Amino acid sequence: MREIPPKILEILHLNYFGYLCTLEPDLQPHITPIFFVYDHRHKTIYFLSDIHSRKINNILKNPEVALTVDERDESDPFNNEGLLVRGRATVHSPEEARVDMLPEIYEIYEIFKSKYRQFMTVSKSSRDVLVSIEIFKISHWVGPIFTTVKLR
Amino acid sequence: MRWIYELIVEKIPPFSLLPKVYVTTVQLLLMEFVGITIALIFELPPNRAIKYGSIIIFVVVLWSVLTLYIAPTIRSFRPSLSEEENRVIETYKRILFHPKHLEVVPGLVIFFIFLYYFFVINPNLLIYYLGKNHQGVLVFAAILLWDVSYRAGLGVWVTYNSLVRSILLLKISRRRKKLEHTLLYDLRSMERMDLNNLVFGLISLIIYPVFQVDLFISVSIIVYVCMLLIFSSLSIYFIRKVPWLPPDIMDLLNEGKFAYVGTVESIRPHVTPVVYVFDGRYVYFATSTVSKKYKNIKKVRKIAILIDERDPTDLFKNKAVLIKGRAAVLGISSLLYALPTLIRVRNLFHRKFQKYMGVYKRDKSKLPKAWQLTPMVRRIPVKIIPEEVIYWRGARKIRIPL
Repeated sequence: MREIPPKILEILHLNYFGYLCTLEPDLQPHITPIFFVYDHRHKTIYFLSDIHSRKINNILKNPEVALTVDERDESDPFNNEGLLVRGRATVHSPEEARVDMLPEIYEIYEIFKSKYRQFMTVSKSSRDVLVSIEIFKISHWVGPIFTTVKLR
Repeated sequence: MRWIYELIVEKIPPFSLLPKVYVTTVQLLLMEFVGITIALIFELPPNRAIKYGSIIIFVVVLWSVLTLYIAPTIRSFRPSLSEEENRVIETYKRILFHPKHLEVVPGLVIFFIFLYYFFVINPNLLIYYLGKNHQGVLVFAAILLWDVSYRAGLGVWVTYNSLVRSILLLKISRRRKKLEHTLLYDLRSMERMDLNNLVFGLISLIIYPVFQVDLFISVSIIVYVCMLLIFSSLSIYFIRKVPWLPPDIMDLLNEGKFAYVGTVESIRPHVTPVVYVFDGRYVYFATSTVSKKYKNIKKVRKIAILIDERDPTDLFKNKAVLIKGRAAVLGISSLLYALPTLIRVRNLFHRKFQKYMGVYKRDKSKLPKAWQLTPMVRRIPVKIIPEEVIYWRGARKIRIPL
């Protein structure tokens, strides 16, 4: 199965927070809440982060990442729904972003703008870099029922 | 600042020339050599002078080992993130490493009391240990007495000041605000140091047989041991009660319900939501033995757990705490040593998630077959042993680079 079911797309589009897990060189897991967008055309997740942050540091050494996006219900575990994305991250530093890639990057910024409208700002002196996560596998759960979608 | 004994080790040959690990061994051999030589030259009674002398030398060296460990630990405490607590720690360091070497004072007191006792009150004791012609070895005996007194004094001095430090820290920690706290690492080293002091006290019992012929000295040793044991155990008790997290994070951990647990699967990360409880010291979550994270933890114990609070109306009001460390699985075998913990964790879960867990019981039929057969028994609590804590308050805006 290579198509992502609409249920999963809905979760990816409607949730503001994702929890990204990277590994330090000594295999110590590190988790950070992130703002992210999903681009359905490339089946890729994007987020922005400071180039000096721990997660970027980790990704540069080990690109394997896991991301959880979930909706939780404090009173009923059967209403919990979420997904675990596993994939490989690539850091696009401003120098690396080739001219022919620029339009694509701008498109991604547009997706950010539409999702996080009031939380966006444009900065000239930003040290932030764009990171893409190429999705390998998505596990989806509703309450205790799990399904897995493999993209690769 | 250094203690006198440390200065000797650092500045005076042969000790200053040796790698640190060998210092105490060489000290032991050297003292033994000198002691036995003197005993043979002056024909001292072998089974008293040599045997008892060796025991005393052995204790002196054991104490030296602990001293060389304790001193750098005390100096290594970093500034606390609470100004008041920092003042307590700084005062503690300043008293222990006073430029006027206050640490010698208790040792001097002990030394002179025993000097007076041996030479004035009970001179027969010297004859008992060293024989009738002991004039020639008095200097060596006095040096040995000083070695014992100095370290015994140091033990009392450190233990007493540590107790005062623990009490003050606990008292002040109750008034903390927002992010004020003393670093977990330092609290742990304080606890370890107190444990050392406890061992220091127990070591003095080794001397007991040497002096059991004399009531005054035996009683002094017992009193000394009790004092050290009581001081250091109280100090451990109080320091363990000092919260290792600032109030803001404690609140977050107490109020939160869900957490995200990160584990390692070979070289890939894995992250899933869990429900958790916090007992004021540690975070626990429960997991099924068939879950991926359980299998991961069994192979690699490194773990991260993130607990956050989100405000749906304002993304910037979120806060999060990330605890990185090791996972301790409280399985069947832990029933033996962690039963109180298991009961406490179970009660915490029941209180916090009464409704949530109730749903599982009520709608059992909705669960997958495997879960229905193996209900809560196969859910095992996991304790997070923290090594690093990171705290975020308020997300910053998403900045688009230009």
